[in-house]
Amino acid sequence: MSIHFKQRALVAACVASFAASPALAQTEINVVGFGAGFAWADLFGATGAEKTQKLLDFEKEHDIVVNMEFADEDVARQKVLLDLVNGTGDYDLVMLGSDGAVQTFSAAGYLEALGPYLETAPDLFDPAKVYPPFLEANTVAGELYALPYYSFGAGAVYRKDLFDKYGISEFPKTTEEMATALQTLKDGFAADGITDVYPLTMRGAPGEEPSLDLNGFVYAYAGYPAWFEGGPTTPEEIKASKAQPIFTGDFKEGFSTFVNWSREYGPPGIAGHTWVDMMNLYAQGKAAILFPSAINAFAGIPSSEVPEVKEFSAFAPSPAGPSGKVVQSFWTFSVGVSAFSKNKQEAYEVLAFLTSEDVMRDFAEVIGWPYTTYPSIMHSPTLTDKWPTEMLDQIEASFYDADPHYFPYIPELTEFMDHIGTAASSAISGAQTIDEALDELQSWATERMDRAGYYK
Amino acid sequence: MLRDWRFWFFLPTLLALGIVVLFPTGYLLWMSLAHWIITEPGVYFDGLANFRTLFRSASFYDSARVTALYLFFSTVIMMVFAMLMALALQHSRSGILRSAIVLPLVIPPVVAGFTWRFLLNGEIGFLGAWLFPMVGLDVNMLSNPSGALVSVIIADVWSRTPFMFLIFLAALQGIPRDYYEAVRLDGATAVQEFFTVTLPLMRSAVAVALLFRVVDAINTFELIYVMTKGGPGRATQTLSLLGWKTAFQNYDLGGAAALGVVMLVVTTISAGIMFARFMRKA
Amino acid sequence: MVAIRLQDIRKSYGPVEVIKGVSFEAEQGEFVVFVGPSGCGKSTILRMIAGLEKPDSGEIYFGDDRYTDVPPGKREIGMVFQSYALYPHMSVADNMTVSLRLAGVPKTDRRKRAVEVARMLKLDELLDRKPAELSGGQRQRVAIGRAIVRDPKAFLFDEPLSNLDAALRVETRLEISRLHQQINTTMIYVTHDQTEAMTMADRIVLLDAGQVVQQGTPLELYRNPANLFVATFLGSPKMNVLDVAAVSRDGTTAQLTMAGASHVSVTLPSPETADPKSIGVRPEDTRIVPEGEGVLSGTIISAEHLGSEVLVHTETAAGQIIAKMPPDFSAHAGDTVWVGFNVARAHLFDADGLTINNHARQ
Repeated sequence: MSIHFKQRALVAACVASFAASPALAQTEINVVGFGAGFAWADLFGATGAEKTQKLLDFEKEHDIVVNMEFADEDVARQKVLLDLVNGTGDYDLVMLGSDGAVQTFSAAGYLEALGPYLETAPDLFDPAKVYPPFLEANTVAGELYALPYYSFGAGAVYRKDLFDKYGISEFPKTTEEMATALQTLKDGFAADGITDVYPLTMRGAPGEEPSLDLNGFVYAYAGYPAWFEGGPTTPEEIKASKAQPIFTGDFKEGFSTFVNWSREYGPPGIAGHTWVDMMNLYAQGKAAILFPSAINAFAGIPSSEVPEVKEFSAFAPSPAGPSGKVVQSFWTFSVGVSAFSKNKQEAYEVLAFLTSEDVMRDFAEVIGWPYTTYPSIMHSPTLTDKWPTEMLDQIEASFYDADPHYFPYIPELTEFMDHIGTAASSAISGAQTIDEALDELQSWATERMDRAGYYK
Repeated sequence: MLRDWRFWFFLPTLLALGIVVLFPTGYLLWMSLAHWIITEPGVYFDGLANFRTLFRSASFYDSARVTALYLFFSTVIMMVFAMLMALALQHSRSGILRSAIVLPLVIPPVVAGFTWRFLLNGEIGFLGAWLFPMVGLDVNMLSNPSGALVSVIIADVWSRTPFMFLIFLAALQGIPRDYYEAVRLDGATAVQEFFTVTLPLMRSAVAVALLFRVVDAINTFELIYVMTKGGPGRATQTLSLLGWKTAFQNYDLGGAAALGVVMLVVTTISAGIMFARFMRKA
Repeated sequence: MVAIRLQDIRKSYGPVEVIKGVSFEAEQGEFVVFVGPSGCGKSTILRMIAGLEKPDSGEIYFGDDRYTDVPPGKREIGMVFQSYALYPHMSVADNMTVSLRLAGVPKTDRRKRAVEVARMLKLDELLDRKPAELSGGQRQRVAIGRAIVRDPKAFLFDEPLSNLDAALRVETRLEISRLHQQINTTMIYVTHDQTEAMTMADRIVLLDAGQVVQQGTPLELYRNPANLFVATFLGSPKMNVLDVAAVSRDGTTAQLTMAGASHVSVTLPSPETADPKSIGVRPEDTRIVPEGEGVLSGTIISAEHLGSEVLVHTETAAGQIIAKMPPDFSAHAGDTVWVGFNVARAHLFDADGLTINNHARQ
């Protein structure tokens, strides 16, 4: 069943909606999410429609009724957006991704800053116990706006058997070595007449899809979030320096590498591939390396029917680019409190519960992937029974290695992610050359930033 | 008028119509004239700014071109297929065959999209990875810009032809036998029979089918979204995908509304042309 | 010269044989009417002549040529359908000249021919109208015009008047007859209406249950029906038929006793002739007569005054009897009257309904 429960499914919408029920003394929190039977399965059961004892205990203790309503992912996202735009406050809790929604919605004033609440439910959620980068990813202009549920950092999953076969003794530590390794694999496959295994699987579908990974390349090559002159990452910094977009400048090298690797070493359909495709290809033994969003390999391995995939898959830290910084791919699916909520304190309590160590441990148990937001869980038997400690340590290291702000935190982030990803898809497919795609991106970005009033 | 009791019976209908049709349209119009973009808080009247931005954006013209290509080719192919199938099956009594043809119609576009995406997948798909290469067709349908457009057209034709087929079949079966016999006695070949009797007498059915088709094609979303997300690049990004992106990715509600207004106008004009061309009094 | 010849045509639909061996010939220029009750197979025969249906067995000849397998388009037949089958999207002129257009005749020639034919049918003012803008009679004429245009070897009419009102029907009947005289082409006309058959046909072919019952000129069939079916099918009002209860014979003279103890005396062809089982007398040979002069007594049910005559319906011991009386005849429902027959013009039928010659007949 893992096909339904990939990382994106996890970016689940968790929207708590408060239905005004004057007859009830209890506060009701309605949550809209997706991935029934997967997300918060320990609370809402395998169908997503029941309430476990654990949840009932929480409700009793806090005098809150939590109602979860699972919907299709897109539907859930649109519900959240429309609810926030209209400021209805029907939803107390909203699902957010750290690649746009947190930045945009916080700037728009739709999200409640969580700082003042953090002390109010320490038994449920203690920020000190969570990996700091996951909180940092949800921090905009110094304010925390959401708590992380499902989160991951960069890394590569590769086939040790294939590396051995073609004489690559260890996983590359730099992008330069990586390029060599990819070429070695490609030549090796060609020499052996293997046409349906590709050195690399990534994702190049249009939209924001490739952007998380692609911007990780840009960061590693330029050494900073190279969107604007000088690398500012906040609206204030950009306005102060009137920094112009540099998509045809420092941005280009990382972008080009992503595009070229996709074209040279990726599967032929990569320009349309989403995380599902990259996962499936790896699980079906058709790729030697999945990179840099390693989680997508872990999502596919359990259901793989190719013995070598299960037996010889290994994790490696993301290689470093010419700047010395590693290729990034960092993301959290998190939940925030709507600024329009009429019961913010109760909403926060539910949020704290939904992201508590206890709940996260159950979640880690259910999915069995080597990722979690709590170091205590990372080092507990929940994961150490399943995974080599060395690998867990490497994954943990990748969290600390991450710069969650490897792209600018501006309100227009989602729009930029969309345009950047689409430009990549376009260049990978050959519809445009890299230069054409970047020229168009540059002129769009310049116009967009100007229209948004950054350079007044 | 208020003294006429009939008015009061008419009133509920009038109100319902106003609420169901006029209000949303009016609201859309208002939105299209408003600065309403979430990244820049504050909603206010902004004249034609959204339209100016829209008409200056490359994506719009790109999407308009893609939509036009998509609309034209899917419609032409669909009409030919639907007509051929209707002609072939008009005398058939096989319920099984007819059900088989109509089956795609009951498959939701999302499922159809997934199915075709899977079939055409260049690495593992039955068609894309196995059948096409076997017949020497070495193109990755979904990641090749033209191939992707062809792919969504194929899927759309597969999914929506049955609807047109049903309209045509009903129309065909409504043509009296005498017309065919008369023209056969006059020495018509099968082709002459089709153009002298069948097609002219199906004129209004064709118009209705076209009307549905144009509206349907301009509004196709799920199928394309699921198959290609509008890609690769913007190769299959139709106006409706652009609209979705504008609203839900770019959070520009005013811009999306402006695009909606443009699409409304385009659809209405297309429908008008269709009516003028095919529905005028025979 | 024989224009169309059918030779032992048979046709079945599934297990039902609808045409049971029909043979027939139409002479060049003859107006032949196929008449019979609905379901008798007359339309099927017409459609087989047109080529729209294929006989299961038997042959069709046009002149001396075998046409059984020739496709309809090659038969050079003009057919007028009951529905007219005019194309709603075409003007009258276009409708009439479809066959020419299909044959590749240039537009100006087509128009010329349309004008010619339209003049013949008094349609010249209507050439550019659409069928929807025409009256029923006009549409009928356009349908005929369409058949004429191609100068066919024969015209086939399939109940062409059934969509017209009574007055128009009479008028169109005359027009078709006149047209036939004018162009003198073989016409085969199918109808269930005996009046049409009687008034238009050179020759009637009377069908029943897929077989030819009798054929001949209208008068032949009217005067000498081969059997009870023909006798009652043709003529309006229908022939009065009385069952014969008893026969007492003396040589060729027979005394027939009907219900109500009435008697008539007839002469049979020979002493060996089978006993008549029924006797038929047409209304015009039936009279209301003074008491004592009649055969039967009865009660008047109704009297239909048609102006030129009065149809008197009476109920007698032998069943209902209609008498055709002069217009000044006065009758009232409920009156008891006597019915008399012109026995010399009576028809005799045996147990199988076949006609027995009445030798007394003039």
